[in-house]
Amino acid sequence: MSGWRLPSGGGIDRDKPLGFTFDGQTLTGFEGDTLASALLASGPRILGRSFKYHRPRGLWGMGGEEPNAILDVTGPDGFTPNARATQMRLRDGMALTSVNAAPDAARDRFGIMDLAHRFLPAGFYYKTFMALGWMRWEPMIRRMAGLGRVDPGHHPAADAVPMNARCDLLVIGAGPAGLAAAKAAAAQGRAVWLIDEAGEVGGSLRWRGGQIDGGDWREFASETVKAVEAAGGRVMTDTTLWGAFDHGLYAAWQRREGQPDRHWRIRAATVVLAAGAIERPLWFANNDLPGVMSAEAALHYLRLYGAVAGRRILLATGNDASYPVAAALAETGARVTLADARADGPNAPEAVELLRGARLTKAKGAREVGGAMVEGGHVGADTVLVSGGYTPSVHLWCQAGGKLDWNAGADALVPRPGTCSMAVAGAANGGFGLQHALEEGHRAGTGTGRAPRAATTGDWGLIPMRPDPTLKGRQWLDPQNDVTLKDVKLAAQEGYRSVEHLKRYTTLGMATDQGRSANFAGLAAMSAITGLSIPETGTTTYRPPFTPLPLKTIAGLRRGELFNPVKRLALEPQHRAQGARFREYGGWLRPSVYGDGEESTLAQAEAKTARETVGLYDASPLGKIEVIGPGAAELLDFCGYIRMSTLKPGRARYGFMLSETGIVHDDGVVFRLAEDRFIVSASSSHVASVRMILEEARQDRFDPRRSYIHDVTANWVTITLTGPRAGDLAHAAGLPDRMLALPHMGVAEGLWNGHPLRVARVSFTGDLSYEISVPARHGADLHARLEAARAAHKGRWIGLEAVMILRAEKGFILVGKDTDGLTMPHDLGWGGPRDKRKDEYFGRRSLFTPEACREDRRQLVGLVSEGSDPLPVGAHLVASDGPRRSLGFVTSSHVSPTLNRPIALALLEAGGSRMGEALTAFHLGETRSVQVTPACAFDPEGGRLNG
Amino acid sequence: MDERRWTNPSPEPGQVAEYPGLSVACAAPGGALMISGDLDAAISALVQGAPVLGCGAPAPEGPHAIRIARDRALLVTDAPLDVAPGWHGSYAISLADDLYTLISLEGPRVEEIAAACTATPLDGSSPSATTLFGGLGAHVTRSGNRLMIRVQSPDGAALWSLLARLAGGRDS
Repeated sequence: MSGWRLPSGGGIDRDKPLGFTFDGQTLTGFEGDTLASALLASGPRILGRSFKYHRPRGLWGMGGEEPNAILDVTGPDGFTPNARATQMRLRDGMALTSVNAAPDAARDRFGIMDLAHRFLPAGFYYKTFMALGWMRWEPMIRRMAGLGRVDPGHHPAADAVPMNARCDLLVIGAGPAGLAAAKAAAAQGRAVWLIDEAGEVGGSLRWRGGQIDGGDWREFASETVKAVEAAGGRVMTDTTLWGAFDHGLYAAWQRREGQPDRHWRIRAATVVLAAGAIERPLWFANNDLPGVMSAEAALHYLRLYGAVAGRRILLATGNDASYPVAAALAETGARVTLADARADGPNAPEAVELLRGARLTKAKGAREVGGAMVEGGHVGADTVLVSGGYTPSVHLWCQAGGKLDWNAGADALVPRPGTCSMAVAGAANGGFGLQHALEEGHRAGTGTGRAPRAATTGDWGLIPMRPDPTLKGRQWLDPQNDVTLKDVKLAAQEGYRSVEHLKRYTTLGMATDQGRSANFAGLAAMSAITGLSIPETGTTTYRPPFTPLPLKTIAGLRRGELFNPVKRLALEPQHRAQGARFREYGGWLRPSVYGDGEESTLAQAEAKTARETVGLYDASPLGKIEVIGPGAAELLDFCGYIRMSTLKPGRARYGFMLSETGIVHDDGVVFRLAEDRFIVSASSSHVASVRMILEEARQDRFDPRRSYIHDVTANWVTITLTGPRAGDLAHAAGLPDRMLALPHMGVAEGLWNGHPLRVARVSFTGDLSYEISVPARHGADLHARLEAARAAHKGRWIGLEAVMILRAEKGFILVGKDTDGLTMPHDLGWGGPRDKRKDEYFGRRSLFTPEACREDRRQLVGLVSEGSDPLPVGAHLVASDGPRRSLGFVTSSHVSPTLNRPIALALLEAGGSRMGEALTAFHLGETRSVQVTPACAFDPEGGRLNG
Repeated sequence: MDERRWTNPSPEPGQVAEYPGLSVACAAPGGALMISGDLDAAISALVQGAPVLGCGAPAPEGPHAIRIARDRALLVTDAPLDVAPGWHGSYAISLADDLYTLISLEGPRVEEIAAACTATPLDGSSPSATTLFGGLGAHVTRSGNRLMIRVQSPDGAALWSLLARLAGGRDS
């Protein structure tokens, strides 16, 4: 343990200590600490174990680039797996646990894996674990893989609030460049949204400090915030802009203390990306040892949390930005040695030993840093800080489609102007240094006049730093996925030279840090091997999210009843009052059965009653799509398989709607109420799609002024009476006799008790049936009248389970259950229109392809089976003798209370020519004998339609 | 198979739910007709002078037409009109008195709740009043200080529950 806490300084509150544990060890931090700063100041150095080799790993960085300090956290908000210690605030009582280690990070027994590292290079699993078959090893490897464990008992609250917003200018990043852009834009009265991931504005100013326009940077920041708010803008901290999407849509995750997170979807007219840059590591032997840290991060922890990384510090660098870091650390009393790879540079800071032209080649130590080798000489150290340059944060630029160019001066890939609508400023644009950031930010915010001025100017004198393949020992490029420089060489050797292949073969950049500290090194190393330049090597694709965010933030409130809400019946209270049990059918919540008891038993009883006397069910979800106008008939003729133009007013006709590929999309009845008015009664689950097909044809093929389509399904309550006594019940309820006298497939509308009424004699059960529709506000009245008369006619409310039995007895299909993605109308026995219609209709041409004309297409049939149990739905039908090849499958299956035996429908190859044939139904290893029959098992002559 | 138990009820006309900074009410249904085609002719014949409203536009007391598409609108009246559905020469009419549930929002948190439910500007600038509100198809207008949201009646329970979750949760 080498990290320690200053007695004063930093933004923590030393009067408010917070107790926490790490791997069972009790530790203390302070209010204002992050998990990382608290551990650095007072905790152990080994915070985790690497993914593959289980090498000890310690804190590296200060933000989303942190690859090692990944912890499972149990806190006041519950359990959070794989939390990044640098991005979570410490709360009292938190229990932190290392991941990928057993029993803990310090004593991980799987550390011996590192002894076998020669046998476990990148891609080893492509060449090993083949003896006895991969699946012998896969479960074991899977158990060992991964980071953290999900607690299945933890159910995060569905409380993240989704918010939509628009702004004139979105500034991403509130460091110096972002503040300058926001201030400039606000000065012109623009509504600016200034967003930063950290808890306060300032970016690197917060730990580097700086004078702007002659005053402390905090004054500049405060003025900027005031200006933004005065101009009607908004400043959001603790907010991560995580994704750039099409059409100027940006997604941001806002964390709020003591309140639910907010998930913002922001449409921005213009955007300035001022997301800064991430410090690169250096590459040397054992560069993954705990105690090796980013120099910038060390300054961050010192200034913001009063946490000092070590007592004997070696800082290896190749740029001027590290000098203030060394100076600040020396001021704490730590012994600091600054090893600058450059021969020339600034003067040594006070109390800092400076080594010029000095390259770090090795970190020494078994489990943590115990020293280092610099230019062949030993340097005693407990901490090695490194700065290998800076990588601009261009993620969001690339997500938005922007391209990158190589900037040799910055030694970085930077945004290529003109390839994206964003403006970029500051370090994100490859310009390092405070004055540069202020000027570029001011320009990006379309500022007028002079830009804010920093007290110091000048660049950082960066020199390119690269992995050196001649060094002995392993050099880690991607610490989170245990990818070394040698793995890149191996990938190149094996032909994986493109950067996309490099990534996937070695897994470099694929961990939760998304390669922030690794990708540049990887592509630089590959570039050196292949001889291509870095820009020629290219980058992999940047995809959202910029940083991992909880799924619950995106899911928002959509849990439970709000996850996929079902549509509700107007008469739901009445059904509930009668003991209905509900299920979701086609997106609607509908009664399945009524009463207590076993569902299938109740369904059987309900179906039996409906056949014997009368059943009543709520058919309101059946579509009521009105097609109106002088062109309505021709529109329906085009959109339907069966012509409706020949239907007379007052009549109904069963029909199909096909897809463009000739597949049955929906079936249903069409009512003609007038020459120029039809109602398409689509299946309850297909109303929207049927309407869209009609609307597309109406707008695209025909004169749209000649027909109009109104989906008024929800305007009506429809109750169906079915059974021999349906007419008696309807009469007793006071329904007009003239409507009850309709012939089968007749429809009429009029007034009843002063309000509209429509009655249709259509049957989904094969029995005498009336569909009675009234406007929904009169639905309760209709229900009450029918209910008052029901008992006298021995009627019964029936649910959808009983309706399914009744229609299956008649061989009436449910599209999507008795049809699949290949079923055409002639497979269902409806070949007439295909043969006879010569006019064009939707899907027609597909009905005559060779595939559509095959003799052995799957066709709808019925099945009779032995025994008293129904066949399993999905059971395959195979020949009784010969190879067990699936000839089709069972689509619907019930016990018929009418016939007192099982019935089934199936799709069977050449079913129409197999009547009477004996087959076998095969399901999960069991077989049953079946016989092929016509689909209609009950009353094939249809005599019951008229009661 | 266990099915989800849907217990959140559809709001009843006249029902009001009060939350900090927000009052949510389900209005009693008046009358409505779906009209398509020559909207000017339809409105002139049915309710002379009724304005045609876009998204979030202020609605007058009395009849008005809520624009759905270029050639479709929902004509809203205080009570159902005695009109035959069907084709009327240059426009089509369907009865729609009970097609929608009307939910109003009132209070200082109206705009915040609206921002949680829709990305569409609710300032009348969009000619169509149709948008997604809480993920549901809706027509949105205003009446005085109230935001008026019409969703198809089967979706009423979902919207009512969503508003309760948004308004009743910990938020500021």
